[in-house]
Amino acid sequence: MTVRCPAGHESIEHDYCSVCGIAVGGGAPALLIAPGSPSLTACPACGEARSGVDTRFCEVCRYDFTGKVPPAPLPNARGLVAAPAPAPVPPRPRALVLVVQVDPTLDVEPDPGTPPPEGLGDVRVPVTRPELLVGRKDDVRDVHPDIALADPGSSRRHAKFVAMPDGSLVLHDLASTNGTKLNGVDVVAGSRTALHIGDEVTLGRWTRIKVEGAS
Amino acid sequence: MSFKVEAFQNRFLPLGQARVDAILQVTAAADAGPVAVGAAGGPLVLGFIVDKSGSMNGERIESVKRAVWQAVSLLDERSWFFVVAFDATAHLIVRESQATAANKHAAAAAIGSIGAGGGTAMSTGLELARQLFTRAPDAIRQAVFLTDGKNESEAPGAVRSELQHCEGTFQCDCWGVGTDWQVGEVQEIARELLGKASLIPGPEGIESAFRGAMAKASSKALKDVRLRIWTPVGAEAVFVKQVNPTIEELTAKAKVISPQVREYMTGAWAAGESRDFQLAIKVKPGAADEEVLAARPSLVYLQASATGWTEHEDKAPEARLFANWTGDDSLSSRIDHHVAHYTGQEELASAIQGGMEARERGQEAAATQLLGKAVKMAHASNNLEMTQRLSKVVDVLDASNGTVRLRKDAKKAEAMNLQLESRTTMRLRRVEAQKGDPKT
Repeated sequence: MTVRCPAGHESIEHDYCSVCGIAVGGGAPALLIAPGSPSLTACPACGEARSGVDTRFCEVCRYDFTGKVPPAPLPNARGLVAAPAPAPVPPRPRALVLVVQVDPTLDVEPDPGTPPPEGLGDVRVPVTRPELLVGRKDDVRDVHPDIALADPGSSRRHAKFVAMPDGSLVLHDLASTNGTKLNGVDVVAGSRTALHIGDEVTLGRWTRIKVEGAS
Repeated sequence: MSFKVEAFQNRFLPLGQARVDAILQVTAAADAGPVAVGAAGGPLVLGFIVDKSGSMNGERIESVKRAVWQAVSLLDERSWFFVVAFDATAHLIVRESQATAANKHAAAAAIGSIGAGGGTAMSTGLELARQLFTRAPDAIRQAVFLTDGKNESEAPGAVRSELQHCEGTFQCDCWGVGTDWQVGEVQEIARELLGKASLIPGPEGIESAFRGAMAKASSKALKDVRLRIWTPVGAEAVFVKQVNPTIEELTAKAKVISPQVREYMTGAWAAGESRDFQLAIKVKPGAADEEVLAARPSLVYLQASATGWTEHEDKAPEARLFANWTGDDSLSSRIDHHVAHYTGQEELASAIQGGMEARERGQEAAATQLLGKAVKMAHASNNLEMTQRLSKVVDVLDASNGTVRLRKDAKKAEAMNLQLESRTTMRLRRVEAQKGDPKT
């Protein structure tokens, strides 16, 4: 069985394309929920929680936890550096649910080589954990997002949904390559933004994530 | 799975860089086992190719006869053997026979009748052996070659053209007795036929050398082991070589399987045997933070089973080689310790070879300079064995600066040994390997 790589080649290998060598990234179902990894220590440079005991670099500022490399400046692909503190939000007693959808109409540069997956209904992910990582699954690099996407436009570690102690929910863009939009507007790379029921986060080529209250 | 492969590289490349350098450490499983009892694939054929020219007369030819007989008598009953002796032409002493008690007995008389005399034409012995080996396509085919003189009874180039026919037909370890033979001639045979060339100082050493060859041949469990390398479209292997236990160029010997896949023959392996390979792959440079798979190594080999030899491919996903382009110099500027180590070992080998060649041509200044450089490198990499070999040929005045003086009293055998062993490398010791190895 062959799979199609992001560059459009038929690959007989399922990890890296057997023609051009780039990561295939597909193979796995479009959306799947994997167990999250516990945060262990905080990054001494920016305070971000370390995403795993074996993680070498801070997700946000690329600080090297092994201490060999000084922290690089925060990636500022879109011109901004600082991560603003989350705005205070009123306590939210209701439990939240993230509704993940494949929306082909978001795909502004359709590539016949990698069509959006069809026939996938909405996937509802209740916010029951302090953090939910969104991104492209990659067994090789050991990236197993809580919300795993088969969207070639998304980064492996694209963004996180962080449940604050007060019950509010914060969108944390992880300086993703192609960026993240909140209600159609680009968020600052690496920033944290408070979310409300009814908000829509879009990322990659066709992924939409809606914030809903649990019914 | 019969093979374990470990890769060492710094996968981070500066922007614009196209070359990926890596070391692959390949180890055959300890339980790959010697060839199974009664394997229909056919077991071992051990061929003896010995020089019976006039110079062998006396103690030498008698020692060779004793040594061949000793080795044959130790062979397992399932193995096969033959004996070829050559002077200016080749003589079939014992045709290919199974190592049964009766056949060994018959062989003893034939071996005993060998008498020295005549010239030396090595290609004739190789040619006859090749014809005999061709009749046993399913066996592990190992030859033992012994000479004591120059190849003077045939046109230069005769051996080279015969070797082209022999390649892939059998493997061959070579020995020179005494010091009247040419290192280059014997080394060429060994190298083309995936073997090792060594010096035996006197006739008394022949027996143990042949016993060792017999034991080594009998330990082979996997045959026709090939290192298979896939590279992406547009990439090419700049070089592929074995770098441990000895340096052997493989690049030109590549067999093209498909436009993206090449195979490099490494011969038969014993259970637990381990070798290192160095690869340089040229890929299309990528953009910052881009990642591509630069090479996918696997091992293809024949393993004995109840029904004969069956081909296997052990993929080694853990040994895939990557290229990650980054603007971060702190990541891309580090050289992997294993790559650096073997790059140094190769420089050491070529300094010794160049130095010894200059010494033979009487170019003392060049020889002193190159051998001094070799002493400095051997000293710096803590290669005691090579330092010791070098000190037999040069007086070391200051090892750390590479100040040496050519020894006028250097023995010819020591100089030949240094040349023969110059391509033998040592592995990076664990401690050094772990010291700040970039985890990639």
